[in-house]
Amino acid sequence: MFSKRDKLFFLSLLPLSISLLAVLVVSVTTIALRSLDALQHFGLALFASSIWNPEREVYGLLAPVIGSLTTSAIALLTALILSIPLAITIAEYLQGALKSVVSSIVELMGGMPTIVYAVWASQYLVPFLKQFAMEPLHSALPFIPLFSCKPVTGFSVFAAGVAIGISIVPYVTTLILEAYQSIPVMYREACYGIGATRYESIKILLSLARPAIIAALVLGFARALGETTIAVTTVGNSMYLSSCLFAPGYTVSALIASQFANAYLYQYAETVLYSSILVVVLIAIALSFYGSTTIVRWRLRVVV
Amino acid sequence: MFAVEMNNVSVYIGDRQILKEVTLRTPYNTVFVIMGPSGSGKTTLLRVINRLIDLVEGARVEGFVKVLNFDALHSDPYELRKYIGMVFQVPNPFPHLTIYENVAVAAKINGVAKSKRELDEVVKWALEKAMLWDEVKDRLYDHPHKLSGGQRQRLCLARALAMKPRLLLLDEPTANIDPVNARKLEEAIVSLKDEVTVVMVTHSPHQAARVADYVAVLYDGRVVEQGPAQQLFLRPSTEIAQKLLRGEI
Repeated sequence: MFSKRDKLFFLSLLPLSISLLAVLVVSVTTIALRSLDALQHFGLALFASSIWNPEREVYGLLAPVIGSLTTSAIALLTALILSIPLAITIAEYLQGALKSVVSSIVELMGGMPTIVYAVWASQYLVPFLKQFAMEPLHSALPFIPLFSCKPVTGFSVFAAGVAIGISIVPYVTTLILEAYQSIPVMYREACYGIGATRYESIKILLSLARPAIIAALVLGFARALGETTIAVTTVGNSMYLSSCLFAPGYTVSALIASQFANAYLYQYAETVLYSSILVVVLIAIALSFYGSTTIVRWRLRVVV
Repeated sequence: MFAVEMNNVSVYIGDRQILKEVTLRTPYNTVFVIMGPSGSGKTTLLRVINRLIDLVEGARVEGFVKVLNFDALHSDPYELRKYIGMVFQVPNPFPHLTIYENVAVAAKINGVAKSKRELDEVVKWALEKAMLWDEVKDRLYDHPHKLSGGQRQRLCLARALAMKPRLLLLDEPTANIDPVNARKLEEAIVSLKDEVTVVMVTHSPHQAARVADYVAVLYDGRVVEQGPAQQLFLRPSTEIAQKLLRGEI
């Protein structure tokens, strides 16, 4: 089946091609092993409270874990609101040079270092959101627990969620665009063959691509979970657990970024941080797996 | 008065001329068949009628096309298509919608049915007209991938009918399905004349003979002969038509 030269070539590719897989296995294993100490010592109680007091060796990861999930959920919503219109605009309404320029800009933004988003968000986005989103929401709907606190600095779970959401828009848009544009032309023709207007065709084609769009959002959620730079500059970095989105909070990534450097000074700080990574990594891997297999299955069903 | 009227229609894609000064007339409530060997421009001709030709990059249409009461080349194509249903060579029911929804969606977007009851009636009517009702009435909520190719094509016919079109375009609708299903589809087509005008493309003279009231023979982008089906099949006047009927081209 292979010639001898083919075989040699393949064998020379093999170690390089599986090295990435090895990195994943090794890093997850390392994280798991390193977190063992904390999990054995504190048990699940580690995830039942919110304390960061290394001097007294008392830890609780509830706030950052909840914070990570909440910011990612807000990011997901933000990406949903911004990505679908952007993808449709590119796919349906832009043509020729403008279309390629806009697609290139989206790709460029996806490749931009997140520190750029982080600085912009902390300087401009947070004050903007405070004035035009958080304060109005708080005064209009103070009885809803999510909006029940008055924003003080603006640095909050809400701000971090929106900022991270904006940073994953290019990624999610690209995924949605790929799915949308891979819908075979025969279904577009089918829409026109029943007298659908452009708007009605878009509605039908979007519903056709729905599983892939959901998967794209799930992948975006997984990416938001791991976002660190933007989180640490906008979330407010407080171990205080609040039901209100406008209060400062923490995310796991932000906690690690701000505490890891000094963690070696204490007996359990480091292993506790590792166990917090473990939680996030496992969730992210599960979601990524779900997202990518869903997209593949959708392609097999609709595109091929 | 004609449902479709073409005068000197030429179509270019890039530098290539696909249709050459086509002139034809389709009377209302007839089955008008465009017959010709593959590559003769049949599909292009069909797609000029509902402006699907617009989707082809670099396509240019010249001449005059009147469809129903539209000056087709200078009308809003979306408005025009509201009156024209189309069934394609490859069955293309929406894979994410159920059998019922596939038919209902066409009725809904064209405002054919206002209530759920009306919608149910239109769906049933369309499936009956497409001769599919008996086979799917107990599984309207299955997805179309559970149907055979021929059933899927009849579902597409039902979908096109549910929009209550005034003109129905069929692009070799039996090309990809088995003979038994093809016969059923032909039967359905013939029975539609009271409701719509049908323009159908086929490369099979036998099929044309079974369904057509009028026939136009297309060869290398030109209409070489057209007229009432019986006359054309009994006494074809051009050599190309004779050869086509003998199956030599």
